[in-house]
Amino acid sequence: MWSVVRAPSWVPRLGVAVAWSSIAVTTTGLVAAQDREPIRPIPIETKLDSRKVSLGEKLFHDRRLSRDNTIACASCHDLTKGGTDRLPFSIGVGGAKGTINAPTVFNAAFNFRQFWDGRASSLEEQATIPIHDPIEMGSNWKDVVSKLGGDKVLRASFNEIYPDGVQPKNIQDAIATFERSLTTPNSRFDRYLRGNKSALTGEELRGYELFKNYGCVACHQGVNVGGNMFQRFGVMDDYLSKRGAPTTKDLGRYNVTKNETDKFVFKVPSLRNVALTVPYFHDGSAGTLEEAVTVMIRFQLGRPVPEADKALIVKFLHTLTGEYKGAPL
Amino acid sequence: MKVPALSVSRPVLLYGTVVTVLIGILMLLVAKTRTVDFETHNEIVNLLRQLKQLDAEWNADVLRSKMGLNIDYDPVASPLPVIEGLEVALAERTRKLDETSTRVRTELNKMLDAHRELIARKTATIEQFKSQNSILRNSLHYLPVAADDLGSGAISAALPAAKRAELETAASGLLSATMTYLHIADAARRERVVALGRALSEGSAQYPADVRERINIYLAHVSTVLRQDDIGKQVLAELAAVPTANSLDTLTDTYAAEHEQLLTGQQRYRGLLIGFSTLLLLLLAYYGWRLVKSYRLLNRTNGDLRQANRLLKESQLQLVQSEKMSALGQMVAGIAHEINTPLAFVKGTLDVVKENLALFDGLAQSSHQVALWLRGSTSDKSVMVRNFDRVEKMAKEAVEEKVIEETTRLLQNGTRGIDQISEIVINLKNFSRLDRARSVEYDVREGLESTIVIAKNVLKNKIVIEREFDEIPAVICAPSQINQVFLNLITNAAQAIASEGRITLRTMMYDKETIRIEVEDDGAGIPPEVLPKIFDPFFTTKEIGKGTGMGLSISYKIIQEHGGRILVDSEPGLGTTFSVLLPLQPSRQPDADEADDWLEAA
Repeated sequence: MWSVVRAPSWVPRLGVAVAWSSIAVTTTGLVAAQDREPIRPIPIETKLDSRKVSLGEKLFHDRRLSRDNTIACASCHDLTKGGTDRLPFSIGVGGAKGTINAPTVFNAAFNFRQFWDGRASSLEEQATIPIHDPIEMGSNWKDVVSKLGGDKVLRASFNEIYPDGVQPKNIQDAIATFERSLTTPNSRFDRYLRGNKSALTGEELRGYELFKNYGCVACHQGVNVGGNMFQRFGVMDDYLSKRGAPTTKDLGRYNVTKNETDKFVFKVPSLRNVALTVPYFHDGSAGTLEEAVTVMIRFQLGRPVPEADKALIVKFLHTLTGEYKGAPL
Repeated sequence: MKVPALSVSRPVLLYGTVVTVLIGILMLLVAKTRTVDFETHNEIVNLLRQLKQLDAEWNADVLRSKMGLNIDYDPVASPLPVIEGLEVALAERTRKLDETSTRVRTELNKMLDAHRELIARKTATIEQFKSQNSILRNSLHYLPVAADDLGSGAISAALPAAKRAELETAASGLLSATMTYLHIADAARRERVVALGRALSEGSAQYPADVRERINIYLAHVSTVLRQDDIGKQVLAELAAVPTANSLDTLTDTYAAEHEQLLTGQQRYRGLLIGFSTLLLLLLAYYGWRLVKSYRLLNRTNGDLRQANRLLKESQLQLVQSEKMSALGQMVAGIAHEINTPLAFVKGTLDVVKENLALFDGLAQSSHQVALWLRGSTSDKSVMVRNFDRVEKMAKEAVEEKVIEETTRLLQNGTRGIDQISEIVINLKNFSRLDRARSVEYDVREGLESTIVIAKNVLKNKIVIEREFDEIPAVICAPSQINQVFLNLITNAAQAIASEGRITLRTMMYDKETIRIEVEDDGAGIPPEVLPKIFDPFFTTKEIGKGTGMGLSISYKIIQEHGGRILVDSEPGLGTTFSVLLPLQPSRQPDADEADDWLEAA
């Protein structure tokens, strides 16, 4: 009996594999899979047009993108605060309060889709949405182009890079290119992954093992430790009914697809620099990392986890903080 | 005016249209031959191949994730933007193809849209798969741990051994049943899982709260495994049912068919182009051959014409020569008569002088005898008396009869006759101007005078010549030719006068550079129907043999050569006026060859 239970985890799934008989399963493939880590380090270097990055950085901090010249991208995605504003909900034009927690802009380039509900499939597409959102920037391309076009210096920068000058698509391109430069490589954990076994303490390493064993890694994996799939919030228990006061934003991906099965489904957020991006979840309901881990274990894993293990996992999460422009965040 | 203009432009218009149509067809065929965009087609084929490969890899990655070979979802998530990019590129290329075929647009765009929908379906399904797979894997991962915890872990340590063994059996039994079901998913095994689960749940009441909670967690994960397995099967079935590969194959086939058709079309047009070009070349060759032929014909005709022209010129020269001889004959007859009269007169005079000389001979003889006697050389008185009487008688006769005066007068008359002949000869010389000078200063009035002398025979005594000469400057011309014209005109005028009449010669300035010479007669005039023909060669009103019909024609030609004109004004019954307009300087140098010919002939 137990021999069946202890058999490698792929054995029960062979039944399904029959339907995919064209795929050959080789022993070497299995060995390789077992040797590999589910998390991969962030590339140290990005190859981007430095002129576009520089222009995008200016635009990212340019408050003229908003209706009343008060809000820049950086207002809610503060690069000194882990790419967030550390508020449950951001403040938009005219003091309007947002309805969803602002995710970090760092490593957003590694996310397979943008926004909690994944409604933008690219950074370019993403950039246009807050500009038009009445609560966020409350502006439109026409005004933005006319305001930016009136700036001689900025216009010259555009003309230098783009033959057609200040255009919505060029603004999007510049901002998106800058955002692609916002990666945080060389975290302690990445250094560990790259072979530096002393980069992590014994506790942190133990925390990583628990992170994998308890199943956190089932969703938080890949280069961005998340950000490459959707998952229902509340797999093993109903989170939202326990929390109370549901909003339309809580419907998550359903707001995009209108599929009943997409209700309460969100993009799995990246855990990169997670120690810096308090508060947590789309509703900003978890004020500390410990709290967030507790909620995740309870509702997503649905299994008992000793407090000591939880603390070790939190310790591990702190090793995911990387560097930006060569300096720790 | 309009009709001839139209008739001239109609063939040009026709040729223009035909050439335009031919060039148009040629260009159309060339354009049609070029319509197949191989580059775009290759790009499309390439894109489709990439898409198909990506699609297969995507499937493989999903399966790898399912089997735990992929331990993160990056490989499953990453193809999406690539696929989207390729689809955008494909749509762009297809739009490029649209320009050549509208049928492709509708069909391929529809298929592309359908394919995009399939990809969206597949993407959504894969998202579902990722979510369910994570949960399933987690619960599956946890089940043995949970079962172990319940059976032998710290949780059940406080339980009595029997209860503990029972719980362990129940937990591991459920685990085994679940695993078996996952391995062989049939209804019986599922029922067994459900039954065992229910039994464990129902039996949990006997355990303390903490154990009960663990049992519930365990059961929750078992049911999660069952649920997620169901969802997983459904998702994978759905994924297998999304015919992206088929759709890509159909797209590829359609593109290939379209390309094939375009190629066939191109082949056909190429054939047509070759045929058409051959036709054009043949047409060109035909026209070239025609051109060569016409050129040859033209050359031959030209040779013939040149030959004919030479013959004509020769015969014309002969005619001119005969006209000259004819005029010369007439003139010679006239001049012979002119000279004959003074010649006869001179002869008569000389005869009388000869007669008179006999008297002086007798007188000289007798005077000689008388003189001898007086000197005493002879004594015969009777002879002396006889001689003296004779001298007296002859001297008396000579004195009384004024023989010396008469003789002197006769001799003077004779000299005058000779002078008359001299004058004729001089005029003859003047007239003919054998120096042949072509461009010398020439006094027209002098020429007219000479001509009158030459023409005296024609004029006879019945025609009075009147001269109304204005002061005119000398002209530069060929005098002998101009004289010939004057002789011709005066002769014609004289011949127009039947009996007695008058010819008036006038000279005047026509304008600053032209003089006008008029020869007016009061003869019969020229009938209007004849008037247009008088300058035609060989036209004559005279009896056959009397005129060559070349006179006026040659005169016309001579004046034309000098850059002048001959005008005629005739009133039947009243007379005719010929006017010669002659420039002071010939406006054009007469064509050397031709002028020489004419000159020679003249």
